[in-house]
Amino acid sequence: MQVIVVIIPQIADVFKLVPLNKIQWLYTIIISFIPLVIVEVQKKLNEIKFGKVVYKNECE
Amino acid sequence: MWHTKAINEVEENFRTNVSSGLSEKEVEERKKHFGENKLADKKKESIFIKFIKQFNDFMIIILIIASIISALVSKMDGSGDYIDSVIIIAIVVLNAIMGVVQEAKAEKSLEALKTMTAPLAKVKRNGKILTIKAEEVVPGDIVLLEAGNYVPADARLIKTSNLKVEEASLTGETLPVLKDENVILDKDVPIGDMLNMVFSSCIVVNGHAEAIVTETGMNTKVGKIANMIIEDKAPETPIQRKLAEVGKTLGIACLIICALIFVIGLFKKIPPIEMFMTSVGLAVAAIPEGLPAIVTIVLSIGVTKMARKNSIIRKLPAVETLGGASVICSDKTGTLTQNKMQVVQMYSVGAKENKILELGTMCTDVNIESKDGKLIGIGEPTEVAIVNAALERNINKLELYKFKNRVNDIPFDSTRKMMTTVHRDGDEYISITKGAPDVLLKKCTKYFDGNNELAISSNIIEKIEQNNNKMAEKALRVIAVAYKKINNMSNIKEEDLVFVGLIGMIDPPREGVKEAVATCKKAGIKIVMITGDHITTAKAIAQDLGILKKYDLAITGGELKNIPQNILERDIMKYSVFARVSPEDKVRIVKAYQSTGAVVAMTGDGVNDSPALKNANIGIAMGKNGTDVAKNAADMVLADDNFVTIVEAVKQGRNIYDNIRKAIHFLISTNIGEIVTIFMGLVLGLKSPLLAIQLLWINLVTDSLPAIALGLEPINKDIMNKKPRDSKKGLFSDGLWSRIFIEGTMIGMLTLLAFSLGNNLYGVEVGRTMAFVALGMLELVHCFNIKSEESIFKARNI
Repeated sequence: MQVIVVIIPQIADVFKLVPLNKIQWLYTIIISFIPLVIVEVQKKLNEIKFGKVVYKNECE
Repeated sequence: MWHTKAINEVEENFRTNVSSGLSEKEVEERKKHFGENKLADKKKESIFIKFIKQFNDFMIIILIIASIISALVSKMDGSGDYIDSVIIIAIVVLNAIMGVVQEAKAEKSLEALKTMTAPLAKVKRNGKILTIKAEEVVPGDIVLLEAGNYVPADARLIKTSNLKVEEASLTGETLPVLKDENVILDKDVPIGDMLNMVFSSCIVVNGHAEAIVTETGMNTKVGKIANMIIEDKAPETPIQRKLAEVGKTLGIACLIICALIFVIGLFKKIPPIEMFMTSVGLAVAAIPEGLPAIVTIVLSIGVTKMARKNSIIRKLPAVETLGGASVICSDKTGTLTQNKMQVVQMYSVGAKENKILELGTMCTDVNIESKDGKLIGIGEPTEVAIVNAALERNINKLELYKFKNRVNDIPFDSTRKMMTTVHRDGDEYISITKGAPDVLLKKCTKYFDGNNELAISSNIIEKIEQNNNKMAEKALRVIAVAYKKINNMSNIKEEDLVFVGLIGMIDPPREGVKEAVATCKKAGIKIVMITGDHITTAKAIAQDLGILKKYDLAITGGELKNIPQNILERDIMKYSVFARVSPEDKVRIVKAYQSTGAVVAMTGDGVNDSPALKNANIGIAMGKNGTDVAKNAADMVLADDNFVTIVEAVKQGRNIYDNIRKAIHFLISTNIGEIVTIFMGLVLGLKSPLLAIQLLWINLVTDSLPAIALGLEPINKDIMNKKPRDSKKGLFSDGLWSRIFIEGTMIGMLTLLAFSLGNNLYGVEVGRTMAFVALGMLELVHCFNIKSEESIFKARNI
C-alpha cells in the first residue's frame, strides 16, 4: 500500500510525495532490509548459543 | 394459573396428548403463532450506529479537531489549502470502515459459537421421542426432563419420579424443590410453592419427569424478568485487561512526548500550525489505541477456527488459559476410550470360538438393526459386544432364533450375576446361561470339548480359572457361557451346567489418543486419567496409552479419602490414574494440582461434575454425553467428546497466545519507531522527516493489516515441543519490552537515515518520500522478523 501511494502520481501529490529514481529506490530498499540481516544474524547466534528451540519434557 | 388445574384440564386446554404429544402440523401452526421459545435478544446495534461509535475515541476526536483547526487556519491565511484536512477526515473514515468490518466479523464468530452450545430439549411428538433445540419447543409440547437438564419452558408436570428442581434463578433459593404432579394449588401460591409446575431456565438436579409446556419465550416467568438479566457482552480476557492498562500508560507517555516535540519545534522556529499538525499526527500514530481491538479480532477468529475442530469455547478467557495448560485431567470412558465394548479374546477347553459366540449371542436382549447396510446390535454394551462379534462371523442371533426359538428367560440380576434364556431345540429345550466366570463355574458339572460333554475335573476348573485371571489382568471384562439340555421350559434351574467358554472384552482406546498423549508429554503436559471404573481396568488402559509410566502411581477414591489434603498436594505429581473416584474427589484433585502452580484442564459430564469444572482453570464438558449443567459450568465444550480434540485445542490456544504476543510486539515497536523518527529528527535539528498525513496513513492504514496477519499466523510445527507457558509470567515476559524498545529504536533511526540521505542529496521532498517508503518497508520486514523465532527462510508452519 505504501508503494502504491508513492508510484501513483495523483495519490503521491495528495500525500506530498515525489517520484523516486532508481538510485533513491535502491538506497531505500537497502536501508529497509538492514533489520532483516541483523535479526537473521541474531537468530543464527541464538541457535548456536542455545541450540534448537526444543524443550526437554519435565514429566519424563 | 396452570397450577390450579388438573392434568387432564391442561391437556384439553392445549389440545395435546400426554402419551403421543403434538403432531408435526400442530407444531408448525404453534411455532407461527407463538414464535420461538427464546428470550428476546438485546437490541442489536445497526451498522450506522457501529460506524458512528468508531468516532467515539479520544484520539479520533483529536484528529477531527486538528483537521478543523487546519482548515480554519488555511481559510484565515487565505491559502485555501484544505488537502490536509480532507486527507485526515478521509483516513479517519477509512479507519472507521475497517473497524466496523472487523467488529462485525468478530461479533459473527461469537454469535455462531453461542448457537453451537444452545440447549437441547427432549419432546414427545407424533408418539416419538425427539431431541430438538430448546428454542423449537411450543406450548402443548410434552417435554421429558431428567437430571442435568435445564427446563426449556414453563410447564405443568404430568408424571414425576423423585423430581427435584433447583429454582434459584427465579426464587433465589438454592435448595432443590421436590415436585409433585398430583397436587392442585390455589391461585395465589408463590412461585417457590408451585410444586406441580417447572419453570424455564431452572435446573433438574434429580429424578425424571414429563410435563406439558404451558408458556414459552418471553411469556415464561423468566421471560418476564428477562429485561433485567439480558447481558450478552463477552467478558474481557486477562490479555485485553492488561492491554487496556498498557495502552493507557503508553498513551500518557506519548502525549507528554508530543507536547515536548511541539515545544521544541516552536523553539526551532517551525511554523506553529505545522508543528501542531505533526504533534497531533504523531500522538495518533504513537498511541496504540488499536491494540485491544486487534486482540479481540484474533481471539474471535481463533475460537471460530477451534469450533470447526470440535472445541467450542464458551468463555473467551479460556483461550489464553488453554495455551498454558500443564495438567489435563481426563475421564476415561468415552473420552480416552470408545465407550464401545469389543470382544478381543476367547477361551475354551476344546469348543470352537463360533460355538461360544453362537450361544453367547442367543443369550442376550440385544436388538439387531441395519445401519448403513451393516447389521449392528443395540442394547447393553457388554451384550452388544458379543452380538457384534458374532455378526462379524456371520452368526446372526435372529437367524438362530428361527430354529431355536426363545421361549423363556431369567433376567440378569446383580445378586446372581447371571442371566439365562431358554430355547426350543426340536422336541427338547436348551437353556443358555452367561455370567461372571467365578459364579458360573461353580454351577458347572461338565464342560464341552468341541464334540462331547465331559465331567469337569478340578484340573480343568483350575485351567479355566487361570485363563480367566490372565484375561482379568489385561483389564478385560470376562463373561462365561454355559448351557444345558432340559425337558421342561418353565422349570429352569441354573445348575448342572455345561461350560463352553470365556469371552474377554474391553472398551478400546479411541483412535489417535495414544499419539495425542505422546504429543502432550513432549509438550510438557501431564495427562491424568480420572475414572469411576475399577483400578485394574484403569491401569491397563493408562499403561497402554502411555499415561501410566514406570514411576507413576494409581490410586482409588477410597484410598484418596484417607490422604489429608496437604499430603495429597505434596505428592500429587506422582499420581497419573485415579480410579473409582466420585465427582467430589475431582475437586480435591484439581485443587491439589493447582497448589503446585499447574494450570489444570478437567473434563466432566454429570451434574455433580460442575464444581470440579468450575474449580479447574479450564473446565471441559462433553458435548455428546454431557448434561446441560456441566456444559454451562464449563469453559469449553467438546463436540465429539474426544481427548484428541482437547490436545488440538491446547495447540490452538498456544498458537493464539503466541500470535497475540506477536501482534502486540509488532504494533508497539512500530509505534515507537514512529516516535523516534520525529523526536530524534527534531533533536538533531532536521526538518520534520514525515508530515502529519504521511504518519497517519502509515499508522491507521498500513500498521493494522500486518498486525492482524501476525495475529492469524498458522500453527508452528514446533508448538507442541515447548513446555507450557509459566502462568506467573506476564504478557511482556522473556525480554519482550526490551526487544520492543531496541527494535522500535532501530526502525526509527533507519527511517531517519533514509530521510537524511534523501534530504542531504536531493532535497526535503525526496527525503520525506524516502523516509515514508522506508518506514513502510521497515515495518513489513519487521513483521517477517517477528513471524518466527527461527530464520524466516526455514520457518515451518502446519
